[in-house]
Amino acid sequence: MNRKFTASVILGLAMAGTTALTGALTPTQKVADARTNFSLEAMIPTSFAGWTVDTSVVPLTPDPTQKELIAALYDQTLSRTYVNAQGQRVMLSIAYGGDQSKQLQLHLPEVCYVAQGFDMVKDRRDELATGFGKVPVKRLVARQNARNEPITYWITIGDKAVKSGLDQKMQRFMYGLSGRIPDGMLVRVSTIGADEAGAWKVQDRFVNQMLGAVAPQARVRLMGEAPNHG
Amino acid sequence: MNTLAIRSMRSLRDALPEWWPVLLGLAVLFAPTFYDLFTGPWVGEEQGHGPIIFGLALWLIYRKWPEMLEATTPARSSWIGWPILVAGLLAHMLGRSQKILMLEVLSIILVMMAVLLVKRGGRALRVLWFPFFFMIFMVPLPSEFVAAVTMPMKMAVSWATEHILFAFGYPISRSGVILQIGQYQLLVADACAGLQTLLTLEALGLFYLNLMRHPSAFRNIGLALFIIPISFSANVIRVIVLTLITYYYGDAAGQGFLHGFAGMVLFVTALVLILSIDSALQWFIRRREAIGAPLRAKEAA
Repeated sequence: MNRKFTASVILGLAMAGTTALTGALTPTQKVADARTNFSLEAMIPTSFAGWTVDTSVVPLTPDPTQKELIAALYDQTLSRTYVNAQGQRVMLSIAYGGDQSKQLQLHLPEVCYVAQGFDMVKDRRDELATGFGKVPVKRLVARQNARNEPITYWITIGDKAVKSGLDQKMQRFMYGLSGRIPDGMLVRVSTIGADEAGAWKVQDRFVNQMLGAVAPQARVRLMGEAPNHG
Repeated sequence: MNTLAIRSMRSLRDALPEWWPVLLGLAVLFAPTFYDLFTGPWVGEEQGHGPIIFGLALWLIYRKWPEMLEATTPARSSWIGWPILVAGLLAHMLGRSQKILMLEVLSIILVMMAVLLVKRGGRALRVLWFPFFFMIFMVPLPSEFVAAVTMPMKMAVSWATEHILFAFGYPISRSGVILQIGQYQLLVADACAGLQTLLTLEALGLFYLNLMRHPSAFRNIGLALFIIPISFSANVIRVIVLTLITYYYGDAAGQGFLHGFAGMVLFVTALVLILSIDSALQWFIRRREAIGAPLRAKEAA
């Protein structure tokens, strides 16, 4: 009887101890709070390197049922279409969430486009070389009827650009273990057209010129603190 | 019934001197988890089946508790309980502090298993294996996995709906998961083809089988496997019903209260299909037993 009671006490104490430890381990400090406030609208110039905002075309936005979710998910979103003198159009969409813990995680284009009836024709990982280091990106091609839309996107968690999926979860997890709640950003550029190789080139040039045109601090926000060189 | 209640009260009182530290520990450990679950995921659409499954599992455990006590007297502690406890507590710690719901819910099962093993030994788990297995269905799956599985299911459901309605002469066309019928456009959403409905049906089907206590493994496994196509058909029927409601009564009707009605259609259809396939399997078993040898000879040939 006595031994049985001892086992009960050990079980009970282990559980209570775990609760206390869990409380101590739970991150409370938001990375976003430590950073200075910023506005996506102001951060990205409306014209740079020959690109100007074209208000006649709006990039794919979520349908109304998803809008609520997006509002809960992100603190700031930016959605613009740029056009240059040659008539090339690039759609830029940026979403920023200050709290990447909980279930509030970045809503990936793979899911977002497909949920709205697009077929995801291609989906591969790539690296986008910029003048400030390489960024791990995903290249997608979404298609719906006649609309063929090559997409390039990347995400940052905290101060690092990461591959989506497992890498993103790991980075969030590492932050969590160090007691901090990371923020996150999703940067997506896309063009409409059948020529994919040409589209990637236009998009890469656009991203490079955009990163060159913003302030250094904004650039760090967009592509992460420590992009892998080489 | 009254005597039963009194008896279980008495046995609870007898057990308290030995069990109170465990019960207190469980309460301290899981009260925050359950508070979060009941104010978050468990009232939402995606994990709405969680409380049902947990409740049913608790009921099953309660029902089998006396049998378990009988089988494990005198109680022999099993050392395997301790590593499982450590795993469960680690899962809770990581899951809760890092907001990984999957681990947090999994730890409920692991810790309960560990308590049972330490207090009553391996034989207790053998008696209560089903409720513990059943609880696995309340563990949320990783979102990547859900997204990866849901998409092809949505495509398949849309495809089947298009072909069936087209065969009946309706003006329907499809692009991806968007159905166009007449002047209306319908988007087959995640919930309409969800993995979650499949898992819930599978869980309820298994629960039904467990209650029926049919000894035939053939029938049990057969029905468990049949639930997958049943769930698919039920989903197709739901989407067809929604599509037709929209076609005849307009968009508002399709999105309004009739949407909920279509959800009911899904579960009723699934239930009818499960019951009829179960009857068919039973009939098949009886026939096989009746004919016996000749049938086996035919199978061989």
